Amino acid sequence: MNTKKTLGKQTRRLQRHSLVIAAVVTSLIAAVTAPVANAAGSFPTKPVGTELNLYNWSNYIDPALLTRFTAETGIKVNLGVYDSNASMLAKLEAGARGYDIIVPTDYMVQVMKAKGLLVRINAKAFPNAVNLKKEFKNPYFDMNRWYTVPYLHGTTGFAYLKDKVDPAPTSWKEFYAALPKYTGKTTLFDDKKEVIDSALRATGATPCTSSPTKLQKALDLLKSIKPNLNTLASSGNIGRLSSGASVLLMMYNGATYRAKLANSNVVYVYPSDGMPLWQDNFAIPVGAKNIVNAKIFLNWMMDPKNAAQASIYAGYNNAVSGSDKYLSSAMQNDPAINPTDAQLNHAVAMAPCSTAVNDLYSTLWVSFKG
Amino acid sequence: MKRKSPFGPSGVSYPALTMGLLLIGAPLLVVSLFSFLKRGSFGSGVVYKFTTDAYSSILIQTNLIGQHSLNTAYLSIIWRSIVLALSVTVICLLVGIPTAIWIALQKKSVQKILIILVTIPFWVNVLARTYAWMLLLADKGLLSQIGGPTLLYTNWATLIGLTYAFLPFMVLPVYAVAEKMDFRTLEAGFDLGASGWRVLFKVLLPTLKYGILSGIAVVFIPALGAYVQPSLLGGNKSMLIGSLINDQFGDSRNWPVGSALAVLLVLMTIFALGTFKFRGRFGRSATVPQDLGGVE
Repeated sequence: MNTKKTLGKQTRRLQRHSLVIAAVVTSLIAAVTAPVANAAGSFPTKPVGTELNLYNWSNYIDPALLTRFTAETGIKVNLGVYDSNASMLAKLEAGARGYDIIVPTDYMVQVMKAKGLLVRINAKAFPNAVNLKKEFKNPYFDMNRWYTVPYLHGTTGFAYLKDKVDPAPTSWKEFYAALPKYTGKTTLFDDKKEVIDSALRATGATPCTSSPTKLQKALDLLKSIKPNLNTLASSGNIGRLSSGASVLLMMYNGATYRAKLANSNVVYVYPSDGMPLWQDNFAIPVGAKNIVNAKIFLNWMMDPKNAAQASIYAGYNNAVSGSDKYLSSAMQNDPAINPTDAQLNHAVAMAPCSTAVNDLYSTLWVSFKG
Repeated sequence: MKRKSPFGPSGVSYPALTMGLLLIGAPLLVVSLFSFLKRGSFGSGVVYKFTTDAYSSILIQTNLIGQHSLNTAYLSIIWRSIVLALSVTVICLLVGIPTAIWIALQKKSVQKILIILVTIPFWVNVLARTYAWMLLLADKGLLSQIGGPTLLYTNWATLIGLTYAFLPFMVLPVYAVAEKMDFRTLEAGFDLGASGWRVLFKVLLPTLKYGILSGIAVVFIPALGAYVQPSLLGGNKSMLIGSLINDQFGDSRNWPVGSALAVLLVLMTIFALGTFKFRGRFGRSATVPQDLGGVE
């Protein structure tokens, strides 16, 4: 009885030992294999919970696309919207939590990355990343795509109504020179960077210059055409253009495409003196609660069919190869959506200006608007 | 049987006071604090280091060539905001006081309906109402269709939009006083041989004084920080203090300057209230309507 008891004790101790050993071994194996498994692309396929909070530009994703995502994955998407990179940054910096995905533009990715606001996700290891077009794999703002997945991209040029504007301007220089002819029917964005950059290009300078004389020249140009503008507005321009309230105005290519659906006289121009090529990206902000679900969404959006649906809705091109075949032929052949190589030559990706230059821009902007 | 509050007669107001202090005082404190801090990296956010840079950059401007001078750009923006707010207040006074008196002279049952009519605009979001004005004032809008000028994207449109938005704020407090007024005092004035102007300035307006003063306060102060109407109706081509503050927190990424401007706006407001001699009887004599429309 005594021996039995001792034996029992020993057995139990042994059992306990083996349990501990097993646990240690398992965790060791897990520790060793985990990074390998990740690198090999063991991508999370199972959602954690059913929530996903997307913080996106207003009117920038097809609601039907989100519905289909929910149907396919069981993840419910709550959509919040913003109207500028600046307001999104201000909100996150003020401590807003609860967003799992945000959609910063190229230069804003760089800013947010440097401020430590983004989660490192290694997007290249996502299964659908193989679909990314080559030129979108290593953008200047996120080499190797450690933090972001590309969404849509486009250009900022100008548009006009061909039955109202003659001769048609082909550069920013001609655009600004033509504005006085169409007083009260011209619009610029209420966007410091876009407007000042275009005025710098029109006066033969390059954006982000810190040269006082060059900035002064741009300011003089802007002040001279101010009476010709009806308004400075970053939204509502699709309606303004298609209704003829504005006949010559600064426009995004995708917005122009949408205006053209309502008015066939709409023409988009790739200014020969240069234009910004911008790119919006999905990223996961630090503090996100549903990172697994966010990754599933990001991967899902790199599927050609899904990317195509996003493009069809918003009117902007995406970075996923194989998505073109889902686009309508009208869209594929529209130069506003698919520029020729010659047209695209004018477009350059823009790094953000330094804070010092940004301050000069602010000074200029206040003097312009007064 | 009367129940007494355990904290004395004023005790019942403690919850409201606490909420008020928290919801108004705390943000104000944060804004004041930020106005004395350094800008964060890339311009956005703040670094917890004391500096008065924000205030000096409002007063002293560095132009594109790097020369320093008095910042006339900001001063003219502030001046423009004051002129606009004053114009709106004057128009609201001229239209609002007669309206309020006229309502007060109606039968009680009619008064109720009229007051509901005055507050109906609050049922619709201010942004939607401003868009409605855009449709009315636009080129080929209703006004130009009946032969009027196209006012959209002019200062007139801003003025119309702001007056429209703030008029109820003038009518309601003046009505609140006028409704209790004994209009027989006017007859007494006439009977004693006073002229119409004399009755107006010696009897009517003094009686309505506190309603008018609260009306001025609740119109002038929000009009000073107006943002929606100038940007949508006025064409957004010239800045007001509201849009300037918005720009500092957004595109310009300079939170301290944005905060300093906000503090300045508060100080201007306090100064304005001071000149209206609002102390003492302000709270007692007139009901100040809450900001129902979310007008900013």
